[in-house]
Amino acid sequence: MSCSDLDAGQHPLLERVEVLANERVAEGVGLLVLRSPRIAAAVAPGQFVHLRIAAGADFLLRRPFSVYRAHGDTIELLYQVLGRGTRELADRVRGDVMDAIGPLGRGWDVPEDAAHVLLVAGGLGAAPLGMLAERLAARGVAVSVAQGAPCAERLVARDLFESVARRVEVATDDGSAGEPGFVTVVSHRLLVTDRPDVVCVCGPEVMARAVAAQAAEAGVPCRVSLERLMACGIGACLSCVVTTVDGRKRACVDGPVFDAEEVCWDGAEAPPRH
Amino acid sequence: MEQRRPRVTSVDLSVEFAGVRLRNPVMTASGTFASGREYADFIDLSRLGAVVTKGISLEPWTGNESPRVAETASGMLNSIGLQNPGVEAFCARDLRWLSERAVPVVVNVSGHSPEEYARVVERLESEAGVAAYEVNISCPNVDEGGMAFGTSCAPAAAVTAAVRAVTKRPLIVKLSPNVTDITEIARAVEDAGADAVSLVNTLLGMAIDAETRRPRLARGDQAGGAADGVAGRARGRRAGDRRRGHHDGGGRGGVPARRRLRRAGRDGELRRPDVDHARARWAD
Repeated sequence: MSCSDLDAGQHPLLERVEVLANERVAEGVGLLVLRSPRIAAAVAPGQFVHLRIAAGADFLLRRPFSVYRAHGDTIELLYQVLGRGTRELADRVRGDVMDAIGPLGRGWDVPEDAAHVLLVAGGLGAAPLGMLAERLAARGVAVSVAQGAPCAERLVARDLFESVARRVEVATDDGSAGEPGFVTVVSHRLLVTDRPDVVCVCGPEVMARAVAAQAAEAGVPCRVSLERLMACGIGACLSCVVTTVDGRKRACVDGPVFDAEEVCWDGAEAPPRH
Repeated sequence: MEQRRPRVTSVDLSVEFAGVRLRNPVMTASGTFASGREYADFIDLSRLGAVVTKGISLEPWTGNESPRVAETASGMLNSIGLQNPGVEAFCARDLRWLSERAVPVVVNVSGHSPEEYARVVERLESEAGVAAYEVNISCPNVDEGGMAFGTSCAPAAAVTAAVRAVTKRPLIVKLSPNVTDITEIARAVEDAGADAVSLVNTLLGMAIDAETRRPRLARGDQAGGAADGVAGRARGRRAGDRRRGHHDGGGRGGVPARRRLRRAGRDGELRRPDVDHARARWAD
């Protein structure tokens, strides 16, 4: 699961994928299950697929989605209905066929000797952490999860996290699940009490930035998965850049997972509306 | 690795354009294809007529802040800001790789002044793997308050002449559609030594989010969709006022390349190089 594993890995595949299920799993959130044997076999945690939601001129650009889980022939994607593309995606039914490019990007870089990993998920930021939690637990790594959402109805991936993590602590803005407040309260506590070897974060950029600061203060290495509007998804168009200490890098091929220390957070942007 | 392999045909689609022999009239639009490496997993580059590279400048350009892209009706806006690693890094990394691919390479050139354009081309003159230059005159002219070179005749001609003075290689000038009369600019760059013009670069645009009432992209370049009609008119006007060749640039509407190829193969009507534009490529 290190970067070197990814480098040794695959070229992206272009695959026709079939919808096996598409259901609402939380307020405004869908879970899309796709039969995608080649991508499923190749994908590493934190990588994404670039999905052509509909043919024709209406949806010019593909949409990138983190792979939430991959088992056997299938991959699962979590998506929030935010704009035209995701509204269209919500209408896809069993048997529909789309095409996907994947697996794309650099996933989570967790050192082989890590014994304890803290995952921090904000809202749909849980998506790229699901597969990571499963794979880490399977190799005997202790996983803690700090998860935040606006309210209980918008918490996703709870069953997965509960089933594989040693500890899951939740915060919601309105207090309808877990403790009231932001996830950063929980992540700070777990950083101090659990002393993880590495922290993996995905969520709104302002949250990721706050958690990265907590991790830096605690002296714990921190990885962040960042979201950007994308066009090509394979590194050619330079639409999805992230400002780093080494200049502007492409979220699609140099990320989406970055070492938090290389990210220049002042370039943070509002969450994209797909 | 999966590549799309259409049926092999024996139809001769080769064309000569600005003195360069192309095996077919499909060229990539600058900026949509980087330097081709990223697409090598998906297509065999040697099957293209030519690769037109991303715009290359003298020094590295960092480009614009995010967000850089917004989808619009049947098209897209982008605001990349010509991010590129500069001509030295381009030669060492991209051009070396491209020159092993058996496809003609057209290097797209950017600059902030006529001298800067010329210096980029001077550096590229020592590289064997360059078939032609495409000069992007939509860059801001920093000496004249940032107005694009390509929006009036004199600066457009000045850039063309500066580049012409340092190369004998075929010189294509990519025109901006954001002008009152594109034929005037076309004549100006031809008189300054251009061998061909590329029609057209992107249209200036803005995308607004109706719900937030704020721009999704405050200043971008429109490609695809409505841009096709604009490019069509530019070609029509150009055709009525033509001395040398032209080919279609990135702002044009983008019919998937394979369909154009089929059409060209069927009736042989397509005599100018055509560009597989971003819309078709990024979707397909």
